[in-house]
Amino acid sequence: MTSHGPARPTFRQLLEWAEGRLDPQAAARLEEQVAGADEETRRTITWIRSFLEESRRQPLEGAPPIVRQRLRQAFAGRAGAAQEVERLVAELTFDSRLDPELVGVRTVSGDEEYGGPYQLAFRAGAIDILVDVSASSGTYLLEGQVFAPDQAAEVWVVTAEYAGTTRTDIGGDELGSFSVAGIPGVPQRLSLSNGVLEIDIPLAGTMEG
Amino acid sequence: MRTRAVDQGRHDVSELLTGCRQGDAGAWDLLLDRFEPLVFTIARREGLGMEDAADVTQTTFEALLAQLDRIQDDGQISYWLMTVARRQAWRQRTRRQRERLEPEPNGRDQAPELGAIPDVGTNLWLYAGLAELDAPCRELIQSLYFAPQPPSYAELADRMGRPLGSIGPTRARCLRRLRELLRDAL
Repeated sequence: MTSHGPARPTFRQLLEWAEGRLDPQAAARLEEQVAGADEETRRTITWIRSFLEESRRQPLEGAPPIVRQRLRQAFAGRAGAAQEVERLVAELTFDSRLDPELVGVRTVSGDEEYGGPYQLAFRAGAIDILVDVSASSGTYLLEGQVFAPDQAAEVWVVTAEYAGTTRTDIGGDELGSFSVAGIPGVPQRLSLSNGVLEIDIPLAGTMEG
Repeated sequence: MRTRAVDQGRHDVSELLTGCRQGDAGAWDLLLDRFEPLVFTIARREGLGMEDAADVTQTTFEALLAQLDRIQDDGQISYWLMTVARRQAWRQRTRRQRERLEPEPNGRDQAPELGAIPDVGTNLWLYAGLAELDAPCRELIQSLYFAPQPPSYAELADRMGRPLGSIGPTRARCLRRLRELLRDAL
């Protein structure tokens, strides 16, 4: 039998070596092999190192879930299954500041001047919306969740209107959660949209403590 | 809306596009799984904030929907998407510059600092190669090498429903496949 010299390191061995995953003894053995490696092995090492460098330099970012939902709806529209957008106005069903058992709790960590934190609940058709209101250093934070029966459109874009301008959150998730932060004026209105429904939540009159 | 499951993890892009042309929402979803991060990342690397990058991603794929029946070379879809995404991102960025829009004070919509944005033209084909991998390989490689905070092998094994000991060999096999797809480039 003819001798062919030391076996060429496998791709996996080279990868683990380049990533520093080998124990010191195995790494030392591989380094010896690499020192006298053939052209193909050297090219593999170069490729692995370049890949590791490039992938670290350019991480991939996932789009917010609302993008996928909109694109599913766009596809459904192409197939002729697009729905008309329905508009609803929500009504206040609960205000924690008016609940005698919760009155003592409401100012635990909120800004007294702004009357938070407290919870509001609204209903629009079969949809319930909970909104936690808190304020700090003169800005409002509205965090909430939409409980809707339509499982295909559970991601919502939420826009808060204040002092004649708006702030929009596109970071909603598949649980219907949303968060509009850093609102510098008293929020007057919330608008929720999932591509199928638009819900208007008048806040004027509910925000003042 | 998903009509029927197309992907067993190994469909090529051409099959997915054919499914989309036939109205298969499952194929559309799998196509988005494959290319949506690519398009969104390109928009972000062009200096756009989250909201603008989301808009660019949406308009890019809407353009794909509009052109679905006219695309002649399915194998070039990743380059088609990258080109459209960059053009849309450039338009959006120019529009924002014209408007001199103030950055969001809460930081959610701030674009990355200009100095942090690498030259997007140089290595987009690495993403394109990634998109060509089959679904299990793509998920593994994206998670291990392209996620901002890569998971541990144990976390990944749990998430993918694979034995812990299989992660190392599988990632090597998948990377070798990626190298073949890129024809040794890098």
